[in-house]
Amino acid sequence: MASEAQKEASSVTAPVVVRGNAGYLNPKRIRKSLTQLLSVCMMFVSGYMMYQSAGVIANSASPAVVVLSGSMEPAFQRGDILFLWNNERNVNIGDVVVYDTGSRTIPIVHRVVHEHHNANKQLLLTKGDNNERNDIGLYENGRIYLDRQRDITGGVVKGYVPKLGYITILLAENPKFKILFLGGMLLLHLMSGD
Amino acid sequence: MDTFIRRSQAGFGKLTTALTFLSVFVGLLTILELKLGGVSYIGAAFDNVEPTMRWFDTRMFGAIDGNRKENARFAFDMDVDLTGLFNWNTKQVYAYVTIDYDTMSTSSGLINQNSLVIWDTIIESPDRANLTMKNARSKYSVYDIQSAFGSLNREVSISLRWNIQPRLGFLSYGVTRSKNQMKVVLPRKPRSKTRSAKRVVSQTPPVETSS
Repeated sequence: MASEAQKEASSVTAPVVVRGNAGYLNPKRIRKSLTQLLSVCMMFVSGYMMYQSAGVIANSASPAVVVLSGSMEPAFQRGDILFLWNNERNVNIGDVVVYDTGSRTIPIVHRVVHEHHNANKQLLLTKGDNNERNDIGLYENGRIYLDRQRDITGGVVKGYVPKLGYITILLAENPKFKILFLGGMLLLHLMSGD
Repeated sequence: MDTFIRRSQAGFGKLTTALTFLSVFVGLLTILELKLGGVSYIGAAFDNVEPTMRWFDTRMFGAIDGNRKENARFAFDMDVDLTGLFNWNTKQVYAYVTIDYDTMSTSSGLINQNSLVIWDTIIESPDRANLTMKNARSKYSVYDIQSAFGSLNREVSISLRWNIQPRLGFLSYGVTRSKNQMKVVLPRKPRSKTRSAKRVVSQTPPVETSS
């Protein structure tokens, strides 16, 4: 009843411009906008939560990574997504692992070519399939081995999806694409909100 | 406009979910197909495994703090057919020859288990999956944690392993069954800096595999 009355009133009396202003100041509209904002936040937060939960389950600092270099070609190319698992006590010879060296910020995805383990610890040497030489030059402080517990922060590559991660490379490396992409998302959202 | 965008958003969401489930299904199907195809019964034959030892004093070959490191290289014959590892979802096969051996840790007294890759190849087509090699040279010079590698009369076993890289899905690993249980005794010491060593090969009779 009330809404019908309102509708009738507005269609009869209010001019177009005033109706527009009234629309934006309408508490119902404000509430709707806030709800929308909240839902967008929820989207981001739930995405982040899912990623972190996957990290806890996989015991990995980064349960999914995007390949940035060509050192493992032709197995992995730039933009491929890898899914990691880090719950095994020891890794196997030939496994592809994601490790961190103290000196570099970006973790490295390479294959285990030497493996030594006993009941206490495991030492590893890695190499990229597409590299001529092993990784000793990448290790810090003159070390010649990786320590499984300390350095294999990402874990072992278990799953593979090609190319899908390329969008994150574009976002990170191409500012124009970043503006276009984020602007487009915002525009799309504003339009769907109206 | 409103309904169009809303609909396309909903459609995109559904598509993403569907593709995720499809990917997992494809991954599981591929594993099942490989298991049923009997990939764990592929046999590899090794023969004439000949180690040679050298000293190196660069870090690249495991030498640190100026202590030189004993490195081993191998010559070997190998015969294996990996065609069975290829199916519709195989992007490449990484085939690698490893030597495996046990040692006693000098500091802790624990048993160390060691594996080293001495040779590898990437196969991208089933036409090239039949590997028959005579007097092949190992690609990599390998060494132990300890500076002496061969001087403890160390016995190593040689085997061929594989890793299937799919187009989409899960990576799978396996080891071929050795038709000859090949064990090689590493020579005691490099005689000179250049080339050395006499080979000693102990070979148990061929084991029949049921494949």
